[in-house]
Amino acid sequence: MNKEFFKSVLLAGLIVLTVVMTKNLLASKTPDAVTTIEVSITDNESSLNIERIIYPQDFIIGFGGGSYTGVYSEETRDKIWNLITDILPAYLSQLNLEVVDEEEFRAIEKTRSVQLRLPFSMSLNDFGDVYQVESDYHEFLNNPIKKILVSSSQQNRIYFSNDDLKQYFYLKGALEDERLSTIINKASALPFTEYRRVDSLINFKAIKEDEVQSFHNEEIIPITSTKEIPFIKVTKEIDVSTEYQDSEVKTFLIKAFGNSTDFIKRLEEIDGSQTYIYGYGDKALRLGVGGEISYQEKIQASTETNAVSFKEGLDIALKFIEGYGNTPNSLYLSDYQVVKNDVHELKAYYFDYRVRDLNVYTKNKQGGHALEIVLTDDLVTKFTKNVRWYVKSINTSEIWSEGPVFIETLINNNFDIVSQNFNQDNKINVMDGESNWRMTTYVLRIMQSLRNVELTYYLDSELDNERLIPAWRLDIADTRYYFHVYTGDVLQVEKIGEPKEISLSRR
Amino acid sequence: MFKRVVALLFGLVLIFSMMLPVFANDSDGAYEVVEPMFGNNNEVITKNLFINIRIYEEIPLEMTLVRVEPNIANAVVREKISTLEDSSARMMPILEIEDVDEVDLSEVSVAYELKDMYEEDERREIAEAYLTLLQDKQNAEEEFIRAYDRYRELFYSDELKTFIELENLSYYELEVVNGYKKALENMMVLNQQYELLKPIYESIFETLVFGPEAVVPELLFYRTTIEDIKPGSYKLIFENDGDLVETKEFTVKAGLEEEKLKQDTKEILSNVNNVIKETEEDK
Repeated sequence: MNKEFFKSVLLAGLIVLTVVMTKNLLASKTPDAVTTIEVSITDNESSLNIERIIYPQDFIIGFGGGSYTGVYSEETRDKIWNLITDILPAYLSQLNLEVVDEEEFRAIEKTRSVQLRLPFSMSLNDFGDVYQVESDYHEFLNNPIKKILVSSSQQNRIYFSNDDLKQYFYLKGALEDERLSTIINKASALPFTEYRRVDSLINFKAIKEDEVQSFHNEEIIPITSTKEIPFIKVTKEIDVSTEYQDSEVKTFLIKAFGNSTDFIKRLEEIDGSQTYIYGYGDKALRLGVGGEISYQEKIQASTETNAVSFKEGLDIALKFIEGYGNTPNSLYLSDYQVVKNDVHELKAYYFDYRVRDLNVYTKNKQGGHALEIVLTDDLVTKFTKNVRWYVKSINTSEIWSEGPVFIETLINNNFDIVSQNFNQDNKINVMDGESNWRMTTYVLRIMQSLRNVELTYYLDSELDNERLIPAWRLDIADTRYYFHVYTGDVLQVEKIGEPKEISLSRR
Repeated sequence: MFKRVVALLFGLVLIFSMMLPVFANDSDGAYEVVEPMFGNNNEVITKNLFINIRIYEEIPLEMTLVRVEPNIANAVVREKISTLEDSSARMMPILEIEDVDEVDLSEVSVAYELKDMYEEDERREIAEAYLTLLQDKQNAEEEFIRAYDRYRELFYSDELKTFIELENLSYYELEVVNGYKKALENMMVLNQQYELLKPIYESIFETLVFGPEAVVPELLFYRTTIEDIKPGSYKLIFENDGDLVETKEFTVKAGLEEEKLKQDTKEILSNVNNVIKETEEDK
């Protein structure tokens, strides 16, 4: 009897234990557990300053008389952007908008002025969303803008333009602000690298009628020597190849999968990269040997998501970024894409950062972006991060005393590669008689297609994992080139014609 | 009459053709200086001199930029030099080659050497040394003419060549011969010094700034920038295989500084206006 009773108690105990453990297991699999990485809209305040995240990619100061300079100093950039962000909300709320023609806009560009090129198209409504300013309705507020222009000759106006749409307009403020003149005067008093517009270099005087019908290119390129740009010794955010990083790996695992580590599989790739898979592949975290951190999550049918605005999505993205290691102070939003499908809206936010005043671009990343976050509605479903941290500057003056190579020399010395890509982009067949332009016309067409010239740092994990290489980044037609600043060698060539679709698959 | 008119016309055409600038044939239309753009009075207002040349045909073209230095401070020295240079083109007697050959000029030298640029003190020293040399040279030439006249008077002969036997000469005659030879040697040494110092003196008024540099195009253009160029007068010289093709003379004026001054003035005026407004409001 006692024996039977003992068996019954043991069985009952086992059943209770099974129920308790199953409950625990189910609890860990429910969407609640996802909240460890999902950021709710109501709790999305990031410590990153959003006015620093929405930041122009290029700053150009015009001194008048066709003389310009590209501004790379973080301090001067901040002063200019602070000025704009200081006055823009008031201008937006007053909304005194006037449309101008291209000719007037071009004339203003040639005065003592500052041009800001946005890294991607944003509408003034997007700016209003960021600065929480409401404006009266105007059809132009929804149009994407690419350039902001302020002139010391019109100190109560902010001009906006989109050359693709041929739209030019300005917002007028009540009072003139003389801070801009002060910034320009200070910049002109300091030594600076002089830039000229490409179409002023290819002077109309020097183009014969039979060579080309018209030549217009407002891109600016340097004509005086640029200051020495050091190489930068850097370090990875996380090095999976070393044992002492175990604690850091655990931090990332907890961030990705929560405290429960019962259902995590670890895979080690041949090169040493580590992939951690949670459950049945619902989530995956990969720590690449090249320093890349990537996270992916499959959205469950039971997961409830809500559509978010550009600003709300950006806040979620920033909050998420802060959870994975340190965030560079110079982080800025460099691109943004939206794709809608039948069920969800996918938003991709791309971020870049600067080291010692220059933007850093990473080899084999879309657009060279250091961070990419994809939101499916309000849920982060993809995240990649590959940043480097500054260790020290490496002086190059003894190795390359001649200084940085000029843009025309880069193109001239790499003419075979440039012409090959140019022909491809423009579907020019060298055997085709109709496309067989005169050489001078051909060269002028190439120079006309030159855009987005930028001094940058280039990170090639395969070539040199520990150093940032000073590089010229420039676009010609639909091809982007990265050139070594001192040797003029081509570091990378990529096509930029059509934006790639937002991809959720791991590269 | 007709012959006279034709001769006159021919003469005029010849004179005008000599006045035209000379360009090397093979460089005609081979290049075009797009920048610097020369404004009124050939002035270029800039901080960095940007040289932009469109190359239509590749020729062995070389470019040199020289700065034309302002006159040295001592105008009196310059004036004296100018006067002496004008008067130095006097008629000198034709000398016997044997007499000239007897003078050894291999050791003749001057205290200065040709350089791309000189300090202001050095320029002044060279000018003063050149003036002294010109005066000495003139004195030596006058002395030589006197010695030569005495010599010719004593030993004049219709024959093309006169052989003088020194051992048969009287003391006076020997004095005249030695005086002639000494004056000749002195004049020739000073002339040699003059030949050496003259290009140095001329170079103090031109400082080499850039070049000579081969003008080789990159993407149809040759471009270079002379950064932080000093305001002043310049010559842009083009040569083809050593032959002068073209010289462009222009003046560089500081641009950005003037612009900055205007801006500063505008700001000061603006501040003054603000102060006046505030004062009026206080009243």
